[in-house]
Amino acid sequence: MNYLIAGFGPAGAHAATAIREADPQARIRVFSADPHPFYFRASLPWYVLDRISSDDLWAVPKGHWEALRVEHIPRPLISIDPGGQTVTDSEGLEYRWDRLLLACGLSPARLGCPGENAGQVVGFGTLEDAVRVRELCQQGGRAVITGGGVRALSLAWVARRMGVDVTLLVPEAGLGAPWLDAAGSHQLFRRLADDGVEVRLGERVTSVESQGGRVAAVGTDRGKGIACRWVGVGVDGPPQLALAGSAGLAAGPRFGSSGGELQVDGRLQTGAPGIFAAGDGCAVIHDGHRLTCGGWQAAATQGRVAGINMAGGDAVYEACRHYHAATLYDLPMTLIGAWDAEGDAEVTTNPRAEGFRRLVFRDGALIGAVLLGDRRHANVLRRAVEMGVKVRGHELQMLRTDVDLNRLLRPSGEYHLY
Amino acid sequence: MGILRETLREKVATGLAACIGCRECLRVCPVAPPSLRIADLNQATSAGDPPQGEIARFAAECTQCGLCVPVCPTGLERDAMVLWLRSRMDPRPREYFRLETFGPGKSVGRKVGVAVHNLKNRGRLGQLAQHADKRSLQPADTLFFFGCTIFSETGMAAKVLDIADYLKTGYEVLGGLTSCCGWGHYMAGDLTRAEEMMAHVAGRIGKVAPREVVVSGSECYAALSRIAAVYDTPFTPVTVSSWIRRNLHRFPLRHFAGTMTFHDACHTSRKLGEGEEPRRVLRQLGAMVEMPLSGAAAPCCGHHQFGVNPEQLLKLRRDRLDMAADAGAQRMVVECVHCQEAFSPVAVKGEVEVVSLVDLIHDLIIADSGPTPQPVHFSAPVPSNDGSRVPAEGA
Repeated sequence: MNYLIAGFGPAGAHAATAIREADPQARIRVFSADPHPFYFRASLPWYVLDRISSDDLWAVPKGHWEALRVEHIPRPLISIDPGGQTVTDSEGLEYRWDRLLLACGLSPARLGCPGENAGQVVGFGTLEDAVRVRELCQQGGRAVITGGGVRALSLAWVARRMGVDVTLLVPEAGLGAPWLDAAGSHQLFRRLADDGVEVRLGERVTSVESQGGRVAAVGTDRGKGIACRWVGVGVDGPPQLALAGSAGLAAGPRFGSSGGELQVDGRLQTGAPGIFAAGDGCAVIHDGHRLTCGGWQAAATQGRVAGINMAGGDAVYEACRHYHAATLYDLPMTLIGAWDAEGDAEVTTNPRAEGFRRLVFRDGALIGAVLLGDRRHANVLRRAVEMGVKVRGHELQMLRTDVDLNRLLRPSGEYHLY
Repeated sequence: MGILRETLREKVATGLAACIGCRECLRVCPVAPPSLRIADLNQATSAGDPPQGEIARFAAECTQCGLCVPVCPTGLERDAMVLWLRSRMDPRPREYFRLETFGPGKSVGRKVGVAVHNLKNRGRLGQLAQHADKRSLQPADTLFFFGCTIFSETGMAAKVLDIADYLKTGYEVLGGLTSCCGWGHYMAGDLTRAEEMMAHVAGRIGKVAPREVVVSGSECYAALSRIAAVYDTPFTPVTVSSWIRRNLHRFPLRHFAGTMTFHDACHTSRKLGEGEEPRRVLRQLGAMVEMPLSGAAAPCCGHHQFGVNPEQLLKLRRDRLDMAADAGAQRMVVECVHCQEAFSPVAVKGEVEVVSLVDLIHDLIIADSGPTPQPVHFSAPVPSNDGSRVPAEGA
């Protein structure tokens, strides 16, 4: 069997591993625009801060992919012929496939305004970006960073740790969209303000102005100029859907963001036979839930599910198994289950309380949760979601971090953290 | 597959997917070698083979303190992942063999071994000996669970019962080699044996049908919490600190001279967030200072390294006592019997004294009512294999 994988992030890497486990004879090829094989992109902030070396960035030991007989082709795929079961790469070379995984993730972020190609405008998605960010941070001064999600906030956190003054321009009305509502955004806003980050909500960069070949300022849609030495592009680009589009796979609207996303079923299969998709830019439709994918762990888990199914197995990515833990600036955030689903009941922490929690219930069971600032009980809530435990009457208690949730939920099963 | 193994397997699968390689877990780890790479560690964790070389050594030296967990930006439990490695170690470190003497067993040899062990310790235990591995248990609202720590040379079990007698509490006692809670076996990666032992203890507790079970060991508390959650044994596990705090108004309180500090035990005050209970008691007993690393950041006494690297353990323990001294404390108070076993022999005379919360309360009631029958005294430490003097832990 010929397995082709487009993208060598967590989804692609875990899919390749799962395929090899199931099919020792398979030929597995992974294509990527990034010249490097799978590495810990999410650790780039620690790399910039020199807390890990470049050797630590490699997600698997040296020789791992060779030992697994997984071929890495450092070129992106540009088109699919679903009928002929072939793909074409950026050099026009054609490859046959029996099973194909689309794990392309999101497009490189762009400002989309005049002056965006200046040398001091930098993204934060690749190793090369991180090297550049480190150089720019070492020059001090002020940086303008755009975006209000994980990437922008990581970049802002790194810049502050390196003594850079930061202005964060957030195009949305709040921080941490779409995960956080106004109350959660407010918590995050306070944290950033305490750390000296100037946050401007609902404002975007409209131009980058340079003097003497160096970035000097940005203009914004509120007509203000902000003097700065460099610009960090922290907004996520839209999902890379051109390859899927070439196979006639239509994208649906993307939850809480612009652009479309590729819809797959619980087995991570697209509408086209033999073509699967996983990771950022996908939405899983399963058991009445529509779950926007994304995030490192979710992509890795989805990649594994897709790999098992591509190799003839039968695995399902259920919304209740969805788990994504990340850090927004320096506050831990956890997404559990169908956190973005419509429930019939919802409870949220008091906006003035420390930390933020939103729990979504349906038919008396917890179906999803968003936690910010305190990860206590995340495992218990996760298990409650997975087991569909009826918790009616305990909704408000479940918001509290000082309640022994194990004990509260014990009558319904095995919840202990150990 | 047992529940322990299945739960651990799930955590490992989640952790492997969640790891972003930031290395924060290894940065705070007191025993990880600087050369250790996350990629190698993850690879060994996901592999089915026994760990080798540097990874195997690290897995054996891990103290399971859990400092790696709160620093992880993705919330994965690296300690559980290392435990998974431990469960696959082959050969197992010889230091683990001591654990084989704990827990129930049906063979004649096993029963004779337990009887001989208890006979040897009869004189030292005094009245406590009647409870060691006794067959008959009576129903009671309060059960004092000592497990294998009934033999601890700290004498904590006897002092706890002295305090209970002072309070005129009715109780039953469960202790001995055969009623070890199994947490040590779990921490050593022997998941099957640990599950058997917890099931056995659940059955024994069921005979007493207590409302609450008071425990003096941090890991016993973790084990009992799990037993209460998993098995059909509706009791509430209570740390001895909570039990003391609840009865504080009944003791003849006085201030002890000098300044005290508190060492947080991993499985109670640190991992389960119950560090405020002992502190509430201590504030009634004298002046208190906090060490710079306390609460969730407190280092571990190293009990669950099982003495694999004695030099490393000695350093961990000395560093902690130095920290207490630097904070200006004359006494470092512990709540867990294993912490006391770990630190007491290392404490240099004249510097920081290591005492348990139970010791302090026991002193109060002795002063109030005179000695109760045959309190057990801390006996001379026995030499350990590293040349330092370490008491036999739990036995």
